[in-house]
Amino acid sequence: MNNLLGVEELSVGFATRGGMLTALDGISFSIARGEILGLIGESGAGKSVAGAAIVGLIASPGRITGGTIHLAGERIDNLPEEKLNAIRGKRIGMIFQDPMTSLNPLIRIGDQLVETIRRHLGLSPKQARVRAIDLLAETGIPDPASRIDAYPHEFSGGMRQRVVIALALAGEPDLVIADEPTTALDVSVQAAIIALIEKLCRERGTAVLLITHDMGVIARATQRLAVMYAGRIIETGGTESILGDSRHPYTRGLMQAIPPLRARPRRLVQIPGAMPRLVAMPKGCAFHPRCAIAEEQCLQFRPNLVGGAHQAVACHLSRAFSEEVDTGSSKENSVNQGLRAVDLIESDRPPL
Amino acid sequence: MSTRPFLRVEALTKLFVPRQTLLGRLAGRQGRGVLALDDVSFSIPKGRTYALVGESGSGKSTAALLVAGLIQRDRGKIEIDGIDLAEADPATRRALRRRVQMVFQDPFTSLNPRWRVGAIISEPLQALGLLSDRQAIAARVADLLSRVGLDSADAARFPHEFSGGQRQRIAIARMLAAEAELVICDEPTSALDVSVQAQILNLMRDLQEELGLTYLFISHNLAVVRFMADDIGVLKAGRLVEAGTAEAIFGDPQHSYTLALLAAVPEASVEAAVAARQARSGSGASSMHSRPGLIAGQVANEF
Repeated sequence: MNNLLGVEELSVGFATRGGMLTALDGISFSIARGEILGLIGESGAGKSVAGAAIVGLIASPGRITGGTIHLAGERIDNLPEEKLNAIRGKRIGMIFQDPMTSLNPLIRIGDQLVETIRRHLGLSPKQARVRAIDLLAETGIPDPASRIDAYPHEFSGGMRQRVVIALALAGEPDLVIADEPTTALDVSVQAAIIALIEKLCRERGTAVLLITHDMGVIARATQRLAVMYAGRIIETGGTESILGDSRHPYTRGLMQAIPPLRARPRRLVQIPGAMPRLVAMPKGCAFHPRCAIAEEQCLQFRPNLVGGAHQAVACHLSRAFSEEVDTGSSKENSVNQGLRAVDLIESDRPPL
Repeated sequence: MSTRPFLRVEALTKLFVPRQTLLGRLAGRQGRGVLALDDVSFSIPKGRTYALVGESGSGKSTAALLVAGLIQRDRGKIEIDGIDLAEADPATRRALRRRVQMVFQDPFTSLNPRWRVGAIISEPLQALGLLSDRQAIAARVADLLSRVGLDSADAARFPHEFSGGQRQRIAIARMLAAEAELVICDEPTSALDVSVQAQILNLMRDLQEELGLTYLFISHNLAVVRFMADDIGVLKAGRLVEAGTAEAIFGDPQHSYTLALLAAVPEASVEAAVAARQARSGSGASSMHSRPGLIAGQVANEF
């Protein structure tokens, strides 16, 4: 079995007075050792809920309502709390967005590292300290032997995030969940942190679930990605395929909404409206109220994720995106004709 | 477009000095100050957009606050439409203040959560004495709401009932209510999702074109700046290290810091990935950018 993490049909619901709200609706994905999987989505898509569910951090009134999570072949979604505690930090490391709030401001970073290392690896204080210095060096902290006794506030944002990564690696985990690890950082620091995560992946064979809203981070760091919308994965596959040739109107819109760098168009392509709230989830395809090509079936029926390992998409009209339409070799049905008419409308966004 | 700049900033300098502690004063220690802005000069012609870019701590927000008159300068000059704020009499200053408005980064904290949207938008109308008749105010609020893509019925609702993008629209309507001419935008879309960001940026460009607004645009996001700015100043540790037209800064950057900033732009990775895919698929016939009209066709009718 090649996959380190296997998530199957995972659903998470939050119980409210108004009934059960579905935050995560049957998502499936897997990550191999040494692989970075990008999970991208806008606020409210459910990407952070997915990360929290994997480490068993969904708090009441939320709970996993269906599906399974396997780590290295062992099912972990139904484990009791004390067994989960043994997994968190030890076998699954976590990196969160804000390095200031993930570190205890009153404790020297060395002590935070030593505590974590001793807990997970059972080393002596002396051994743990040596190990902590190694970890700080590995994550690119200059002069780690003297910096180890500094407090978090003595570090810059980027350096703090390196400490957080060192902490995440302290238990020598198989899997690291990184939830917006670069969002609070300047772009030049972002690049360095991504390079660091890539290096650790390569050298240690750690699998990484990289959760972000930033297409740039995804493009830079991942080979494979899953796009989330309203609690579901709506498109998944190779990063380059999806960025270059998405089959879902939401992914395409998301790509086109990014202002281009090489030219200044008069207008940006925008997706009207906003992500639906959990209390007002539309019937049929959740994206249909914002979709320019939605038709009757999209209003009625929810599309399933179909396709292969290379690329899969949840859109009734995704066939219309296929090569056939471009070459015009397929039989002409109303879907294709309708699309072709729209295709002809010129956009003011030049090719990249 | 007149040749006289609408905003002219000359040798602007701001030093933040930490408050002296009693112990420090007794010991005769001088607090060490931070030169947040050091001899910065630029100007914006009417109806154009000047962007200040730089990383956190570069001084770009300090510049925004100075121009808005929310903090006091230590040295230098700020002229708005030819008038130096510091030397103007109170009446002139007050009139000038109305013409300069601000749109802030976080629409979740910049709107009073206890006020209805109608009150938020109509406050400048009353405070600045632009309108006093209740019916006229209500009509103007409805007009402003529709201008930013909201419904006139939204005036009766509270900020928490709106999404981030809608709240930023409310902030823009309030800015328009004051009949602003110079708008200082401090990271106006960095709290928004990309798909919503495009809506707000399009709206801001539309309003600029229609009303001749002048924008001082503060952002760390170079892709956003590329779309918004006519001219750009690159700030590093309080100093302008490079300035010029957007074409020049993006097309032919000179300073090593500008080059480093541009090299780190995350959006460049997206463009590279798309280009790689296009190169691999030969003609590029299947790439998204050869058929970008798919969603764009709809967009034209949005506003």
